[in-house]
Order: sequence, then C-alpha cells, then structure tokens
Amino acid sequence: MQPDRTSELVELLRQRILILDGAMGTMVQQHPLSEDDFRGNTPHCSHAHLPDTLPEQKGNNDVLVLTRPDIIASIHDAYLDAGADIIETNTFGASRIAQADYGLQDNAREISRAAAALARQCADRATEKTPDKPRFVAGALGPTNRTASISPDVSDPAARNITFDELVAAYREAMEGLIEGGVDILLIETVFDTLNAKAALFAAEAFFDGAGQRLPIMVSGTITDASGRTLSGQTPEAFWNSVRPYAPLAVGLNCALGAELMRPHIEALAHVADTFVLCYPNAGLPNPMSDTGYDETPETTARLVREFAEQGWVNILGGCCGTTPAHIRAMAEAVRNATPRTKTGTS
Amino acid sequence: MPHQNAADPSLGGGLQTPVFCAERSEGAESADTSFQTNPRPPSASTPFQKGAANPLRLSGLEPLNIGDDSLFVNIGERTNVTGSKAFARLILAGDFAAAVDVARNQVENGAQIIDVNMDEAMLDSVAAMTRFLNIIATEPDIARVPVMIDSSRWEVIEAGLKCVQGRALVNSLSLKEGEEEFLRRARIVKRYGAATVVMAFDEQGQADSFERRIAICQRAYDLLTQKAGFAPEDIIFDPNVFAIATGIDEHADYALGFIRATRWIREHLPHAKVSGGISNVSFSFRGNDTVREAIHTVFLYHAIRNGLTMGIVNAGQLGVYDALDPELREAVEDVVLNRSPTSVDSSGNATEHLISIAERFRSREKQTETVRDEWPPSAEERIVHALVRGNASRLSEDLAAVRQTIVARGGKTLEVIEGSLMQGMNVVGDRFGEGKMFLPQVVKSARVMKDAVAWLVPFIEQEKGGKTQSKGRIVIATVKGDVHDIGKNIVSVVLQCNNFEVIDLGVMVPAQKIIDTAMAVNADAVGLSGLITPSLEEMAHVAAEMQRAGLRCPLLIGGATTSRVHTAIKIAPHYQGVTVYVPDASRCVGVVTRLLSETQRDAFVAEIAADYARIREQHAQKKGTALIPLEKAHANAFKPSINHTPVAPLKPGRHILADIPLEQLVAYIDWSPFFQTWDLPGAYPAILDNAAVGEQARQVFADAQAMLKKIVDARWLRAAAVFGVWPALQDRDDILLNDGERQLRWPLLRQQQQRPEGKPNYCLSDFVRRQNEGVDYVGAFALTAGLDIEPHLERFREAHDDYSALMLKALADRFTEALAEWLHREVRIHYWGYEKATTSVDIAALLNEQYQGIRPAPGYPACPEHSVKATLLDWLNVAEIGMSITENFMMLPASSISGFYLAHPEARYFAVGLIGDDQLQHFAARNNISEATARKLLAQNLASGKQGLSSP
Repeated sequence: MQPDRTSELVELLRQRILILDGAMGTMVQQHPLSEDDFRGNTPHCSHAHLPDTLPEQKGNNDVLVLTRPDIIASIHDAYLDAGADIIETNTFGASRIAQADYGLQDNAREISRAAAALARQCADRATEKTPDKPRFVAGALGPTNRTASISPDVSDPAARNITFDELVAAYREAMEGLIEGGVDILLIETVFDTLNAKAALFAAEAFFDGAGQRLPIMVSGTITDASGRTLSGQTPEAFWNSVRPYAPLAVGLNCALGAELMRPHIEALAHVADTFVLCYPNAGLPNPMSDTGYDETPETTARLVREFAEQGWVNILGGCCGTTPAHIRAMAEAVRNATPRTKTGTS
Repeated sequence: MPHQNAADPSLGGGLQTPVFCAERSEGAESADTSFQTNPRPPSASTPFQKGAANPLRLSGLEPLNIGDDSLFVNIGERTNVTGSKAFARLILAGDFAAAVDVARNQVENGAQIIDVNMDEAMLDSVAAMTRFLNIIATEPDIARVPVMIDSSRWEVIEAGLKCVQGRALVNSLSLKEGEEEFLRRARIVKRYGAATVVMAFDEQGQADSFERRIAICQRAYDLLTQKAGFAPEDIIFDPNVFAIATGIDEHADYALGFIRATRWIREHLPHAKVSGGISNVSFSFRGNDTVREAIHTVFLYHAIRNGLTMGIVNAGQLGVYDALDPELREAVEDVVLNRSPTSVDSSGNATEHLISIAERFRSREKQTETVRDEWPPSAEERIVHALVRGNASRLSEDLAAVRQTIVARGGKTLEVIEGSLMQGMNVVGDRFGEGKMFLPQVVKSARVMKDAVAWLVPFIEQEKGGKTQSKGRIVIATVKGDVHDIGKNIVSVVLQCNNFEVIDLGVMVPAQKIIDTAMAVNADAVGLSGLITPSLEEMAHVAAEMQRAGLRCPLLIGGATTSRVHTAIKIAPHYQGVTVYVPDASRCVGVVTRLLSETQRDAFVAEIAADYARIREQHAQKKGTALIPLEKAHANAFKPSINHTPVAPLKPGRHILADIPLEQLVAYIDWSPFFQTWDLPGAYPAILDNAAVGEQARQVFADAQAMLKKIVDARWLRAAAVFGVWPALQDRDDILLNDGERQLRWPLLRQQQQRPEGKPNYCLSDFVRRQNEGVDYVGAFALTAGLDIEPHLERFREAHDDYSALMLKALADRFTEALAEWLHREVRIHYWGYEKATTSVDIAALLNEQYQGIRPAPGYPACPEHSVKATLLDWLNVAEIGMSITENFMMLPASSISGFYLAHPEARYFAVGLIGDDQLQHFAARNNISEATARKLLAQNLASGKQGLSSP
C-alpha cells in the first residue's frame, strides 16, 4: 500500500489547479484492435493468453492491461507528457460485476492490480523526469453496469438486479487490487446511482479501518439529463450530502453533457462542497458522426474549463469521453496561472 | 421554500440564546483561515473545514440541511407499524401500494423526513423494511425527502441503510447494551454515511428525569465525538417523550423534563440536535384527537422555543398555537408545563381539569386537511395530469368518465389510450426534454400508464369480443461489444407498461441473434441500444445484416451516443425498413405506437423519411466543405505502425489455372446471398427453419443442391483464373507493377476529407513501399466460374425454363465468389507464401476476412476508378482463359471478378469519398490524361461536381 499522500496533495491543491488525464476509451479506440489483441494472442502480450472458452472480449478495454499493456502504457505516457498530474488507472469496468459480462469475474482483482501497477510505473517514470512535478495515480472505480436504486422489473418496483452487499464485495475486491498495484488515490467516478457510490465508499472505509491506513478518496457524479439530476434522481447538492460524510479529498462531476452544459451543476456543487472540487467533462455532447464520438476541439474544451477556474469553482480539471492528450495539454496550458478554488461551501 | 413548515409557519425560528452565538467563529471567510481550525476528528475533516458549524446535511433526491438555527423540521410518523394501526394493517396484508400512499400523503402534508418503522412481531421486519424502502425509492415525490430508519432491532436498521441513496437518519442508537456495542454500531452507522438519533437510554434503563437525561446525552456525545469520529452536527438526541396526564403524579413532570433537557442539550452539547416522538406525550387522550392535537401543539410550541430541532409528528395534523381555543390552550399548557391551574372552575389539578373539559372538545373533530394536487376541471385533462404527476389516485374514475363520453358518441375505448393517455405521455416526453422532469419521474409516469391500460383492457376486449393481444412485439438488445443496458432496461420497462410485448436479448448481442429472434418471434419492431462509440458502427452493421436477411420491420435506434443525424446518415441507408432514432425512454412509446398504428403509420414513416433525407442532404453539403488540400492529405498519409518486411513470392510471375475443379470450391460458397436472389429474407442456415419462409427456402435450396451436383458432375461450368505476384512500388499515389518488361500503373485516389485527430488520410498505395524504401510486391488477378455457361442457358431458354436459367446464373455467381476466396487463400499460401498452410480451413473466418492482406477490386469504395480493369485484364492477358472486357468496362462472362492483392498486415478497406480539384489535376498528370477525361472517370468522387460544394 502506498503511503497516504493526502497532505502532499492538499499542499499542491492550494498552490494550483491540478490536471487529471483525459479519456482512456477514446484513445483505445484509435487503435485498430482485433479480438486477438483483447485475448492476448499477439506478440505484444508476453504472458496473458485468455482461454478460448471465454466469450468475445472485443470491447473489454479493461482486460487490455493484461493483454496489450503496451497500448495502455503509451496512453498513460501521452497524458503524462501532456501535463497530467494525476492519471487514472484503466479500470472503469474492471469490477467483478462488469467483468462478468466477459466471463472474467474471477480475474477482477488481477486486472485492477495490473492496471494500477502499470499506471504506477508510468507515473513514477514521469516523476523521475520532472521531480518538481510529482505525479499521482488514481485508481478508477466505475459505477458498474447495475443500479442499486432502480427497478429493472416492470411489475415490481421493489426489485433490484444488484444488492448493496454484492456491490460492497465487488468494490472491495477491486480496490484491494488497485491498492496492491500501488495507487495513491481512489476515484469513485461516473456516479449515476449514489447508492452504488455509497457501497464503494462503505467498502473503502471498511478496508481502511482494517488496514489501519487510509488513502485519499475522490468522488465524481454524473448529471445525465436536462433536469440537472443524476440518473437515480438526485440533485448535485443531495448527492454531495450523501457522500460528504466520507470526507472525500475532492468531489466533482464528470462525463455526460460536456463542459458547457455541466456549468450550472458544477457551480451548484462548488457552492456547497466544503472540499476540493474536480471536474472532467466530455469533449462536448456526443457527435456520432465524428470518429471519436465527440468533436469539441481542445481549444474549446480548454476555454470552457478555464471559465470554471476563473469563477473559482474548481481545483482539479481533466477530461472524460472524447478528450485526448491534446485536450489535456490545452487545459493545462489554459489554467497554468489560474488560482485554485479556496471558497468554502455554504448551505 | 421546500423546507418550510407546512402546518404552522410560526413554529420554531431558532433558539436565540447567547451561548450559541459565542460558539460561532467570526471571520471564517478569509482564505488563510479556511484550512486551519479543525474541531472534528481527523477522519471527518475536510480541507475546507470552517470554524463555524456545518449544518446537519441529509438528503433524499433533494437536500435537507438543518443548521443550528433552522426552523422546526417535521418528521412524518404515519409510516410506522407501531404507531399507526392503519399502516400496520396494510403492511401485514402485503398491500405495499396502499402503504406507499401513506408515505406520499405524509410528504404532501409537509413531512420533510419520513420515519419508517417495521417493528411488528408478525412481520419479517428486515424484508418489510427493504421492500418498502426499495419501493419508495422509485416514487420521486416521496424519495425527494430523507428517510429516518426506525427500529429497535439493529439488523433492521442495517437492512434499511442498504437501500437508501440519500443521507438517512438512524432512529436510534443507545447505551442500553453498553459502551462497546454503542460505539460499534455508531461506527457502522458512520460507515453507511448516515447520521443518528441517540435515545437517552443506558444500561440502567430509559432516562425519565432531567438529570438522567442530560447525563446520558453528555456521555453519548463525548463517546461519539471522541471515540467514533462523529461530527457533532450529525448527532440528534431524543431525551424521551413520555405520556403526561396519566393520573400518576411522577408523570406530571415528563413534558417539562423533556423541554428542559432539550434546552440543556442545545446549550451544552455544541451543534447536537434534539428530536422526539411527539405523539407519545398525549397518549392518555387517545380517542380525542382535538385534545391530543392541542397537547401536541402546545408541547411543540414550548419545546421548539427551547431548542427542539425536529419531531416525529403527524404532519397533516399540527395545529397553530395562536389558533387554539383559549380555554383548551390554557388547560393543556398547565398540563404540559406541570403548572397548577388558575382557572376558577378547576380543582387545582391540571390533569383533572383537562380531563373535565376534554369531552366538550371531542365533538369538534376536524377533517384532516390534506394538501393535494391542483386537479384540472375536465377528466381528459386530469388523465394527462395523472400521468405527468405519476399519480394514479383518481385515475379510474377519470378513465371511466372519458370512456363514457367516447362510447356515448359511438367511439371505441381504444381512443382513450390514443387520446388522453398518449397526450399525457407526450407532455412527459416534452418536460423530460426540457429538463423539467427527471428519469425516475418518467418511469413513475410509465407505471401510471400501465395502470390505466390495465383498467381499460377489459373494455377493449369486450368490444373486440375476445382477448386483446399486446400492442406489438418488440425485440430489443444492446449490440455486440457493448455491455451497457441501463437505458435499454428503462425503455423495456416503459414499453411493457404500455402493453407492448418486449423480448429483451440483453447485452453484447450479435447481429445474427437479433435477426434470428426477430424472425422467430415475427417481431413488429427491433430496438438497438448502445452507449459506447464503437456501438454506432455495430448498429450500422446490424442494419445492413437485417437488410441482407430480408427483414423490413421498423428499426429503433437509441443510446447516449446515438443521434438523429447519425441514424439518418450512417444507419438508415443500410436498411429498407423504416429506421427511427428515439432520443430517450420517454419518447419510445409515442414512436412505437405511431409506427405500429394502422392509421398513423404511413404518415409517420413518410415524415421520418423526409426528415432523414433532408438531414442527409444538409450533411452532404456540409461535408463537401471539409476537404483539405491534397498536400495536407499527403502529409497525413497512413504510416505503418509495425515494421513489416515484404515477403518475396515463392512462385513469382504470372500463373494460369485453366480448369479449376469445382468440387473444391463448394465448401467456400457463402449461401446467404443466394437466398436474396430469390427474395427470401434470412441468413443461411437459419432461414431453412424460418416459420414464414422456411418451406420455400428449403425447396429452392434443394433445387440448388440438385443443380449443383449436375454442374459439378457434368461440368456445366468451367472455372479459370489468371494471377500473379510482381515487384511493385508506390509512385506518388499510384502503384506501379513491373514484370521486368512491362509496367502497369494502378491509378489510385487518396481520402481528402478532414480526418479526426490521429486518423490518416488513406490511399491504397500507402500499403506499398516507395522507390527508396526497398523492394515490395503486389498481386493481381482475374477469375471466373462462368465459362461455358451459355449453351446451358440457351437450353433452358428454349425450354422456357426461366427458373433453371436463373438458378444456374445464381449458382455461377456463387461459384465465382467462392473461387475468389479460394484463390486468395491459394495465393497467400502457395504462390506468395506469406501465410502458413493449415490442414483444415475455417470457412467462416475466411468469409469474415480474418486473414492478412486484402484484395481490393476496382470500382469499389477504396479504389473507385474502374477503367483500370481494362489495363489490368490486358496485362494479365485474360483472353487466354476466355475472359474479355467491354468498352464500358464490363467483364465477360458476367460472373467475373478482377482485382489486386495487397499483403501489408495493416492493409484495410476504406472509402475514398469526395476529392478536390487539386487531386483531380494531380491524377490527370500522373496518368498522362486530360483533365476533362479525368473528370469523366472520377465524376462519382468529385466534390466540385456536387451542387453547393466547394473545393478547398
């Protein structure tokens, strides 16, 4: 387990806006990968060859940390080179629950561990090159593809396709892998159902209590529709009230809508959150006509997030779907001299 | 004002004691101090910790923040099986729907938190708590407020905490079982992110005196803040509300003791809150609601003035202190504050006095005042309103009224669905689009829709004289490569609520399975969902496969990254059936209903077709402007990412196979296109078992097999090929082949549109080395399996046997395609030799192009210029095997294919698309032809030939 670097992060966050990396999936999609790449049947893969009995793996980006680590490492390197202070592990869908769709549920911990170790190496190499700019690894814990608050059954609103206990167990396993692999931070991200996030936070607290040591946690929600609510119906402040008891190092929003439409919601959150605020929007709204699925230019995204910085709403900026190293470089440049948010939250 | 006290605005107003003002720190706004003082234990600290108190932050779907000076907070008490007989009856009977209405009623009447208690001996309390909380989580007008999870059993509390996404309150913890257990539970409550009520109860029992109350609260406060890491604002004390006016002297001081303890707590335990179960205080007057209400009102009045933060109350039945009958108010006040009555006709005992006057007030029972929705006047509007509000409370009477009107004028019950109900769902869709509703509300509306349809169905059946069938059968799936299904599941629920039969195939569903299912169940529509970008391509693929299989039912497209424009341009053109983009779950019912309605369908399809055609036109115009100069396209040419050394051919030069045994081609035949020749929809072999066309398919397939045998045995057709692999190099954008004597120029085009970052502007010549990069090779071929076909066709024509003639041509085409596949493999293994020989052949993999290298044919999107076929056939000297080419570049026999082989591992197919005049000129110069000739040859690809387009 890495040492708790909270105080180092807090020190840096007071000095300047820290930069998180950009999209992983978007970058992976730029590589024409075949089923063999995903299964580890190429010379790029030295050890992991997935058994032929497994279903199709194409699209299982998380398994690439085992089967095409060269590609994932090159993406980490590109973001570090673009100026990211914090990189996220390639583990958005690495939990047991999400991996079950690929038959890899029993490898969930291994995938998380490998992803963390890979990001750790990349981050440490970058820190070595520029020791005055220490790099951090955030272990990404995605929402899974199940919702603990929404009924999948038309005739029974009480039905659920996942329980809190199952989520806790899956998150626990995933975060153990991440921590073994050497992450500095846990990042519970793209929260569309706060009960899922609470299960992750519950698992983290239980783990830290057992370990006698903590790591900083960041939580990032997703506002999915025009009403300004999460998928499960919470307002940004209600979401903050749900996660605040866990005293996260940072809270924020990511993914859906893009920076422009995210603006009122990040403002609302910045207004109430008495902790650091992070924000990593998509490169605009999805445009399926574009090859990456998003077509907001690095300049536009950077201009939009710089406004957030100028308003004093944010401490950590990065990118989600559709963003590339060029977006991150433009963002880093745009907020280089911006003052980080210091205002406290209010009720 | 969402948190205003609905019953009495005069209540509360905060505790104005100097003690609290002194506690608040001043000047905390400056950035310098904002990171410093940290009065809380480290685990609860945040980087922005202020000296001033934080409010108690609770939430449901909306926040509820309770500060030190907040107004009194109502906690609804009716969803408690120990306190409400009516609620207990409903829960024990399993009538959760009605039980949910109790909760809704509380919130509508102003409850800002609802207390949920399932402690009943006859009940599986863990299951009941879980079920009830899960249900109200799907009721947005209830779930907007936080929940107080109330139980004397720890496992019930823990079960409840696992169900709430908001920040809940636990009611309650106590020191009853000792410090260790108290702290253990407190830490777990904290781990669930909840705040807690602490009852003044310890190892000795429940505190009933002021001294015991404050001693226990002080002890619990210290333990929680010092040992369990609790923030003080997250602690709510319940110093025990007991019944007064019981006739027992020791009880007379209970209310006052509570009020005094409340004040003491607020003064001595910073930021802690106080709560209580208010109805207990009047227990001895049960049956006389007027008096009980007066006792509650007076008790709250004094308790709030002394610092009571919140109380568990019947939110609909709180009186206003100033509005109480003065005589009753005074009598009650004497009891509550344990005073001797001053009234002349009292006996000097407050309780006896209150009892003596109570009967006079019994008759003044008043109706529960409920705050209800403002319902519009007409039944039609009320149905719309019911859907929008997700409120089915008076649905059946309104449906009955509207139906009555329709039937009276000779209409059908079905019109209720197509009229008011559809209108309501459209309003829901509009509001969702405008951000005025959020998803859980949309789902709730859909459930009301379901109730309405269920109510109407018996009438519809009666009118039809039989059972109604579902409104339609829809197959939905998340496409291959994508595991996201939350949106799809919601669509599925909403459709089912509207009486559609949904066959949900789940996630990562391959095209074939979608098509097979759609055919097997005779689907009325197919819905595709996907979240990630690669799914967009897969959807286009599914559409193309549906076309190939002959399906023509409506195709619905949805998912976060999809769009109307993408559907119109990239998906709809692949499929002849109507393809519709559905922006969200709120819209799916409207779209499907119109698509499947006999009366509305045609107009809707025409509307969609016109809309999408317009989008495509606009897009084509916009697209033309995105051309980049040829120079830039060259600079962005594809560069190999892998170090590939070209392999020299094992058997260089030209080869002829003049009579290829047909038997070995049979295995390479792809049968699916064969059935399309006969307009039979479906992929082989599933089509043979298809319910609708299986019999015909089996017949034509049997005939084909019979003729195939004759073709092979009697040599009706002859297959031949001429091909070779030669040294080649890239020359500007063309490829030059050289056999030592002659040179063949293969003129090629480069993509010239603006490409996304990281994507090259492809040209096929990119896969071949340049002059100075070393030697490279390219193959070329021409082949046919249609030689000697004419005499047989002639024979069938003479016999007027068109069927056999058509069959023979179709089989010749299949043999030719099979020959192309077979020959490509032969070349890779035996002539060029870059692929290893294998004993078995995976035909399916071959047909899916799972091998290294490509075989582009002139006239196709990667090399659209097809006049090169003439030079190619000449270079190969195809006359030697009986092939030829017409002036219009049509090859003879009709079943013929010619093209090139590229071996680079990264070689791929792509579409050149539009090019600019600069490339046109470049092309003409390279090929030594006039610009006018080039313009004629490249007309298809010229941007300048298209209206409204401009070259860069």
